[in-house]
Formats: sequence, structure tokens, C-alpha cells
Amino acid sequence: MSEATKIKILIVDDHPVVRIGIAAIIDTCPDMTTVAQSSTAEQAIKLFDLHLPDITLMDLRLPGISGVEAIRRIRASHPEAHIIVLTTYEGDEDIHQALEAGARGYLIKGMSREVLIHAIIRVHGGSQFLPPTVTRALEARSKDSALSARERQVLVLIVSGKSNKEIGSALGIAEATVKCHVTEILSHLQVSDRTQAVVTALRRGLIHL
Amino acid sequence: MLVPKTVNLRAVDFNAGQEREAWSGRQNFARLVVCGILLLASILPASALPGSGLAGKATDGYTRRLWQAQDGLPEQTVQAFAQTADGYLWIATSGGLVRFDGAQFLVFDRDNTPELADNSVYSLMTARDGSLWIGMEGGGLVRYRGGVFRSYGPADGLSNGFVRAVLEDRNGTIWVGTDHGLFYLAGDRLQRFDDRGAVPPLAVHSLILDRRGRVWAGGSRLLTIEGTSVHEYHLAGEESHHQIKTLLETQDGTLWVGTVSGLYRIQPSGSLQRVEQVQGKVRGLCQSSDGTLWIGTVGHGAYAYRKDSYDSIQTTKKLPSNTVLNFFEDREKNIWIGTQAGMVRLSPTPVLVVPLSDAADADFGTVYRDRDGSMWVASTHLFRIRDGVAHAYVFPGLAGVRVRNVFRDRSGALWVGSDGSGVFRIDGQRTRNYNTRNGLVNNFIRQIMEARDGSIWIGTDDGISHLGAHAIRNFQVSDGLCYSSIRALLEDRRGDLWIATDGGLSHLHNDRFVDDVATEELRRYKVWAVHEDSAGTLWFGTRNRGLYRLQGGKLTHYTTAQGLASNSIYQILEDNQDNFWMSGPKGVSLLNRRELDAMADGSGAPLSLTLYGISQEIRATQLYGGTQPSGCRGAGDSMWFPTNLGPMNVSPKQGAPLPSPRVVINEVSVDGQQTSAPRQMTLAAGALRLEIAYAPILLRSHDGIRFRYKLDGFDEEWKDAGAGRVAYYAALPPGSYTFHVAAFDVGNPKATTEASLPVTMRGHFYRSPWFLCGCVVFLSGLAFAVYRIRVRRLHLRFEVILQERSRIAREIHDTLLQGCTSVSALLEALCGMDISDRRETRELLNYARNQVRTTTDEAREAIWNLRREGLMHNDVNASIEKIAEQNEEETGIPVEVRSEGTVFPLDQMTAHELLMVIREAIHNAVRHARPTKVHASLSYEPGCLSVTVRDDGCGFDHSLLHDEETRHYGLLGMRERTRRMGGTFHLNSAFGQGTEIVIQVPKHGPGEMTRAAREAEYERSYKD
Repeated sequence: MSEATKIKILIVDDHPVVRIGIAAIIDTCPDMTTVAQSSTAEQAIKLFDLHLPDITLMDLRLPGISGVEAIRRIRASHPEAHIIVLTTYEGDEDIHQALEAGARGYLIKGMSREVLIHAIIRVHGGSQFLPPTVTRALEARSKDSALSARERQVLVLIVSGKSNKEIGSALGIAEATVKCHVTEILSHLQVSDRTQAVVTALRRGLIHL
Repeated sequence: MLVPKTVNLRAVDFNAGQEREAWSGRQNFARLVVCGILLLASILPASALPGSGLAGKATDGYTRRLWQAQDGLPEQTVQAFAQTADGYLWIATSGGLVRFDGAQFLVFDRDNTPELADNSVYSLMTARDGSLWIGMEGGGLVRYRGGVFRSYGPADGLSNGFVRAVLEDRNGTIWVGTDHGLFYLAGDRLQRFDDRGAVPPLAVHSLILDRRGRVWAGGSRLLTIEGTSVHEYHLAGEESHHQIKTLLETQDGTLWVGTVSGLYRIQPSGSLQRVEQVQGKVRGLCQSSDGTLWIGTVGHGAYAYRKDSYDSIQTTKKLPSNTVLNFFEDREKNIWIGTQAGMVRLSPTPVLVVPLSDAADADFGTVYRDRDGSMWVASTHLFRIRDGVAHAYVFPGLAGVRVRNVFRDRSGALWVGSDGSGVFRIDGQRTRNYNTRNGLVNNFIRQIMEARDGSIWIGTDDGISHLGAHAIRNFQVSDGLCYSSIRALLEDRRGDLWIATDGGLSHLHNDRFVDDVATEELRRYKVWAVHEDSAGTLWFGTRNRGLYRLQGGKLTHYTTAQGLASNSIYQILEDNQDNFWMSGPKGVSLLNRRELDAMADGSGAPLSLTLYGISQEIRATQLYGGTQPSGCRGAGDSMWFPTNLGPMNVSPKQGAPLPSPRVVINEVSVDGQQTSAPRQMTLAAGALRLEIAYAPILLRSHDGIRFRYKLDGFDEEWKDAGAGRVAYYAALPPGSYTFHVAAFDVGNPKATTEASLPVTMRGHFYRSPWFLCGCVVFLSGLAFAVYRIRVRRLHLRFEVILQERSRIAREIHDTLLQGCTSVSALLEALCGMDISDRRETRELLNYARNQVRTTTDEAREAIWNLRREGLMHNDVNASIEKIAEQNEEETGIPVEVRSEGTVFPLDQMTAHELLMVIREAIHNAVRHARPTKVHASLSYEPGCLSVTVRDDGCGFDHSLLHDEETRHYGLLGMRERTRRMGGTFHLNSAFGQGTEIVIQVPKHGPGEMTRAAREAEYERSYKD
């Protein structure tokens, strides 16, 4: 197989060893080649423009711009871009966000080599690839769990252990308004207190540490 | 202005009888003629002064009461009286001004009232606006209005301070007569009226207003003032004799002129007479509403003139002094007499005492009305009163016999009971004596009574005798009589005999003593009166147990608790209007029998009672009881009772019911601390004893006044105070109360007046509602604060747990998860590789080995971090030394650690990241550069820490680094970590020259940040 017909792959991950490992797996496949590697989202966008890879393996957790944002930006200029999320996260919100941003596949790190290659081939062939755990997480996602931007901000501050008053002063809103938001958040997350909210928010990927 | 600009002073010479001025008006005073001294002496009937036993006719119909210095007057000399609208009597004395409510004196004098410049008050006048004008002897004039005194002296135009008279004329002008000048009040200044124009200077002693509205001024001259017209009248005789002391116009228009030489009267016709009957210098004149003219003299007592008769009232009987200075009739019709030795009140009364000089010497007294209307009065001596005149009487043949009682039987025979000589029957000329010698049970007679059959019952000191037609029959204790000393006998309409004794009641039925509910109940009581009323009900009066009523076998008991005036009942009489007249030690009370009946039937209406007091004379009066008849009916509805001063006659006039007296709260005492006439009282917390004193303002006798009171908020019901004038309360609970006191006259108990006083009892502050509320608020606040603190602690703990949880999660993610996933990727790659490619596989395995080692170290660090949290802060040096030691042990390559500058602690995250970077740097050096030695130096500079890791190994080409980046992932990781700390990372290396890594981190690192915050930090650094 000539270099030109090989599936060109861009690897985006902030951990060098992961990149080495992934690149090594890809390089074992004769019809695939790693065209570029990136440790940040910004660099990834540039490298995408440069190499126009067939498949981009995108970690969600990156220093600076997040993986989801990188997916959005790449898709904005290259709507045909085939991007597979490769991450340690499996919260429904992460998956949802990533898929909404335009990811075609979603892989959890620690997958077998075969799964990775299968996923690349599937997505390159125009299909989606979602492993069963991901599908289950998506199915479990409640319909009305979308939080507003402000609620998300409030949730971030709740997770950091701030009181309503501190949240209020941090966001420049009244404490009463914070309470309203908190009530909304608790109701959205279907939990009864802040600790549960934090746990649920982390588990579901609404918030990342 | 009343300045007599056009003085129209015309003198009338009474002596000449010449009319110089035609007087207008109905009465022609112009014809006043000074009477020749003896001119009318023959015309006026010379009224013989009462010399008989009935002396003192002038004060008949009045009860008398005397007050002197020992009774509370500041001094004995009483100069004038006035009554203000609130009912108080004001008394001018030589020792100050006195307010009197009928019982208590309140003295205003120089000591307690600075406005009173002199204690000697001479004249008083109440003006129509309610002011009291006070004229002093030397101290000028004072007005008292609304509780405030205002004095007028020389500065106010009053040039003479001896104010003898004050008068308000029809226009409301106040006239002031002094020893030197007549003044009137203009605005707030006094203007001199006399000694101007044609008006000569005057000494004024009396000012009156006649019914034409003219002001009469008497003193050194006699003038009338009418508008601007001034007339002078001359009295004949020597000037010095006609010093006028007092003036009065009586209802018939006669003008009376009291002078130093006597009394003159000027008839409306104008004729002037000297009143010869009145002797001495006349000081006081007054006409009471019954028409009596009262005349007070210096040294000759007083005279009462009525029905053309001048009755002298002299010291011996009626007055404390023969110098009588003034009279006054108050609105209650009491006559007040001011004398040089106190004051006397004459109150109208239906009570008349026929004085018997020796009555007081007896220990008994009876009064019996004979069929001809004459009265037999027995005490020390026997008197017969006929036509109002008492004469000592001795029955023929009974000289030396002390008579106890007289009784006339239906046959006309007179029975005379004696004190030790038995009983005498006098029939015409025949007198028969019954005594113990001829069968009488005892010679000391208590009562003589005729039975229906004409037989006579005699009650004695030792049993009863029945004088039948043929024989005397005696009943004594041995015969079943309850007690020997007999007090009263009664034959009821069934013919049964009731015998009241000092030791119970006996009931004789068909000559046999029987027991019933009354004899049972009254056993051993002193029963002094028995009465059968017109309805056949029996009434028993006891000496100290009140009144009993026996009707249909039912006995009812009445005492002062039911409204009786006294529990001692001497005699029960009944008039034609079903009224009971009951005598007792306090006097005679009149009450309606139907009210007593109603009470017996269960009605709760209070008894109306009229008490005829016995403060008749200066001496105390005592009623007699226990020897019959101790009272009898006189003519009409008048009643007679024996007293120690002589028989007393009560003949009530049907009048309007007595008005209820005004009651005022005088004084409140809290634990002995007194407050006068407060409007409201506030008691401090812990106050124990509250006493509220109240009194009526009532100038007549207070005998019949009763009170009841109630403390709203404390008392459920009105408390009957009787005549008591103090209400006591102890240990009131805190709160607001209103004290009410009601006063009424027993004669008209339905008409009450009330006074009230709000009383607030403060609680201890710790028992007050606000304090308790405060406590509740405080405790709630405290509870809330505790709750908040607890919540905050939980929050803090939550935060700590959350941070720790976050840290662990991040550590696991950053170390274990990352490491494992990378190694997993490597191993997956190796699986798919051609095993023969040794270089390639060995490289990957190397990466994997390194990664596993790194991950293990990182995981260990994470745990170590957990366990030794806080130590890291201060001990970056020690940690590095430990890493160096460990490294040297494993590789044998020495690592030298140096530190300079003042060591400062780093925050946990920075220290951790820094250690990771340094460890990586040392590892890299040892692993790749094959050095002989590695140097790690820490330089603590102000604001930052610089760490340099240098080796003397092979080094590498720095320019190749970028291309080889993927291969030198360790460098990349170090850079990233340094950036996370907010620090800088520099690498210097060249082939053969070793490698140097310089890391600089700020002293105050980015802190413990969430990932979100860190992302923001990164974003910022990227923009730079």
C-alpha cells in the first residue's frame, strides 16, 4: 500500500508515552500512518490544516483549549473531518459534548489495539463508532439535564467547595440568585444535596477536576 | 377703667333724714336714717333668752361638731371660710390657709407655700372663674387657681398688705379692701380706687355686692360704688364708734352693718335702727338659706336672728369661744362658725335633744309617751316633758324612789317601776306597791307590760312576775327561764310571751317555756330588743350579734355585713311607713323593713339606711338601752330615745335623697413611701405593699359614708371597705391595673361616685416580656450561630474532603490512569509488532519500563503526599536530598544538593510538581548522560525559587531537540509541569559539555486550583 492511500492519522494527546504507544499501534497497520502528533489543541488545529488527516484521534483533556473545543474548531473549517475521541472520560456529558461537537467515534483509553484499529476503519469508512459502555452512558443521560452556562459556572464553584455567598461574590450575583441556581442544578442532576451534586457532576462529566 | 373721673360723691346724712340724692331702684335706700340708739328698743320684742332646760333654740335642728388646734387646725383663730367648686372648704386661720374635705386638714402656710407671705389669712373669696382669692393680714393678696398660687404685693400696685375683704362685682372686677386703700384689679395690676379725685382715703373692712349690683365698702366710711358713681353714707354718732367691721344684705333687702359699737340695720325703706339685743363689737354676719341671720360678736358670743327673735349662743353650751369672727354656709347647708378658739360646724339634722343636766349620771334611761302626749323620761331623776318643756317630776308619796320606768295601762292606771323598790300602781289617789315582800320576784324593774287580758307582766333583774287578777306568778331560771336578768318582754299576736334576757331568749307558750329555732339560736346571747311588726314577724335585737328575724319558723340573721350600722341593737321601733328605727351605740338608724324582708327572701339588694348621728353636742352622746322602754314613738313619725344628755327626738323631714359625696384618692403609699394625689402610679419591681388612701369631699358628717373598691386586673369583684379609707394590696404581680373606689351614702346606696387611679406594677427586668423575648431571640440567635458554625464546619470539612477527593481523583488520573493507559498503548503496539524488529521493540519496552517506574513513583508520591501532608511545605530540600540519596543508591552516581538563601515554604501542589520535575531531571541526567556527578542547587531568592540541575555527562545538541521532541517526552513533561507551577524552564546542553536545567518557580505559586482555574491560567499564558 502506497503512502498516499494509507489512512493518515493525527494523534492529539498531552501525554508523550500515550502518543508513542498509539503511534506504534498505528504504525503496525500497513494501511495506516501517523502523519502528525500534537500535545495541545492549538497545535493540533494547525497540524490538521497542514496535514489534513483522514482520522484525528483526540484526547479531551488537554492543556489550554479542551479537546471538545478543538473538535468544534476543526469541524468548523473542515466539516468532513473524521475525529475519534480517545480519552479516559466516559461521563455521559463528555460523550454528549464530544459527539455534539462532531466526533464520529468515542474510545476509552486502555482499549485493545484491535478496537482502536477497528474504530479507525469504521470511522474512516463513514460510520460511527461507539463502544457499548459509551452507548449505555448516553442512553442513561436524562433528557433535561442540560445546564445553562451560568448554572455550569455555579456548579464548577460548588465543586470547588465554595459557599453560596462566595459563589455570589465570585460571579457578581446575589446570594439569593445563587440559591435559585443551586436549586435548579440539584433538580437537573436529580440529587438532593450539594455533595451528591458534586459527585454526580464529576461522574457524568459535567465538570472535570 | 373704673377710675372715678367724674366722681359723683354725694353724702347722705342719715341723721338729718334729709334726702340729697334721689336713688333709683325699687328699694329706696335714700331714706336710710341713722337710728337713734334706743329708737326701736321698745318696738322690737325683747326675746327672752332661753333659760329653761331647752336653752339653745338657735341651734335646734343642727348637729354640732367642734374642731380646734388639737384636731388639726394650725391655730385656733378662724377668720373666714370659702368653698371652691370641687367641694373643698377653705379656712382662713391665723396660722395659715387650710383646705378641708370634711375630715382632714391640709395646711398651706409660709413654710410650704412661698407665695403666702404671711401665715395670718384674714379674708377669702371664691370668684366665678373658680379662683380662690386669699387676703392676708400683712402679706397682701394671693390668687389660687388650678393648684397654683400667685401673690400680689406692692410691686403689683397693692400698697397695703392688710387685706380685709375681697369681692367680685357683677362685671367680674375684683375689689380688694385693705387697711389703707380700696383697690381693684385691672389686668394683672391693682389700681387704687380711693384717695383720688373726690374719693377720700379709706380703710376697708368689708365689701359686699347688693342685689342691685352696687358694691358696698365699709370700714372707716360707708360707701356705695356703682359704675363711676360713689355715694357715701354717714352713720350718726362718734366716728370711732362707727368703724364698720362687716356688712350684709339679707334676703328681705335689709342692710346690716356690724360696727365696733354694735349692729345696725337699714331697712329697704331707709330707716336705720340699732339692734339693741346684740351686744359687743360685731365681726361676722351671715344669712343661712333657712333665713336665719347669724351674728358674731367679739366677747359676747353669737346670735341667731329669726322670726324676730335674737337667740344668743354662748360659750357655756354651744361655742368654744365668745369671740365669733365669721359664719359661712356651705353648699351642703352646713353652717360654719369661725371663732377665736376653733371652728364649729352646725349640720342640719332632724335630731333634737332635750337636754337634762343630770341624765349622764345614770346608768339607764327610759322614755315613755303618755296618752296625753307628754313624755316621761327617767334616768337619774324623773322628768315630764310637756309642750316641749321638761320639768322634774316626783309622784306623790314616791319621793326618794328612783324611777326606772313609767307605764300606763288600758284602765288608765299608771305603773312606776323603780330601782330597788319594786313597782307602784297609781290609780287616781291610790298607790299600791308590789315588791318582794308581797310576792314580786325582784325589786329592780326592767319592764312593765300589759297583756291582752289586762294582766301585767313585770320584767326584773331576776326573773319575771305575772300580776294576774288574783295572784302574782313568778318565773325564774329555776322555772325554765333561760337567764335571770330581763331586758325586754313582748306578747305576740298569738298570746305567746317572748322574754329577752342577757343570757338568751325564752319563749313562754301557755305558761310553759318552749324551745324553737330562735331560742336555740340565741342561746346565751344578750337579747335587748324584741319587736313584732305589723305583719306578725318577730324581730330580735342583740347586744352584739346583730338582728334576727323569725318568720314562719325560719330565722334570718343580719349584721353589719348585711349593711346594719351596728351589731348592737338597743331598741326596735316601727313607724307607719314600715320603717324600722333601731337605736344602738352609734345612734339611730332608719331602715326599711321591706328591704330586710327582701333580703331574708334571698334578694341581694343592699340595705338603704339613714343614720342619725349623735355628735350632737361638744360632749359625746350615748344612747341607753336594756331598760324598757328604751325608745318610743312620739307624735307623728317622730321617735324618742333616751340618751345621757336627755331624751332625743328624731323627726325626719321627707327630703331629696342625700347626694353622694365626691371621692378623691388622696395618697398612695408604696412600702411606706408616700405620694400625694397622684394621677397614676408606677411601682418599681419588687414593691411589696401598696396602700391607697381615699376620702370623700364632704363637709357634713361622714358617718353614713361607705366605700367599696376594686383593682381592675386583680380583684374579681368590688370589695366592701365599709367606712375604711385605705385599700391595701400586697405583692401584686407585674402588670397594669386600674384602682377604682366608689363612695356612697348608706341612705342612698345606689348613688355612687367614683375615682380611679391607673397603677402599673413593673416586673423585674428578668421577668419582663421584653426581656424574655430578648432571651428567646438571643437563644435563637445563639442556636442559629451554633448551627451556622456547624454548617460552616461541615462546609469546611466538605471542602477539605472535596479537595482531597479531587486531589486523589486527579492524582489517580494524572499518575496511575495516564501511566497505565500509556503503558497499555505501548503494550498494545508491541503486540501488533514484528517481534524480530528488536530495536523497535526494545525501545518501546524501554518506554514502557520507564513509564511503569514513573507511574509507580508518582503513585507513591501521591500516597506520600497524602500521608505527610504539610511536611512538604517546608521540606523541599529534605525531599530532594532524599531523592538524591535514593538515586545514588540505585545508580552509584553521586548527586550533590546545595541550598542557598532563606528557605521558604511552598504550597503543596507547587512543591509536588517541583519535586516531580527535579526527580525527572536527575533521572534523565543519570540515565542518558552517563555523568560522574550531578549537582542540584536550590537558590531561594526574594519572590522565587531557582533550581538548577546540572550534570557533567555527554550532553546533546540542543538544536536537535525539537525534532526529537517525541523521543524526549521527559523534557516535555517537565516543561508542562513547570508551566503549571507558573514557573520558567530552561535547558542548556551541548555535546560533551553536560546538561543544565534551570527551573524558576514563584514563591506564591498558582495555589491549589481546580482544573477549571488551571485551564484559565493556561489560557492566559498562551495569550502571552
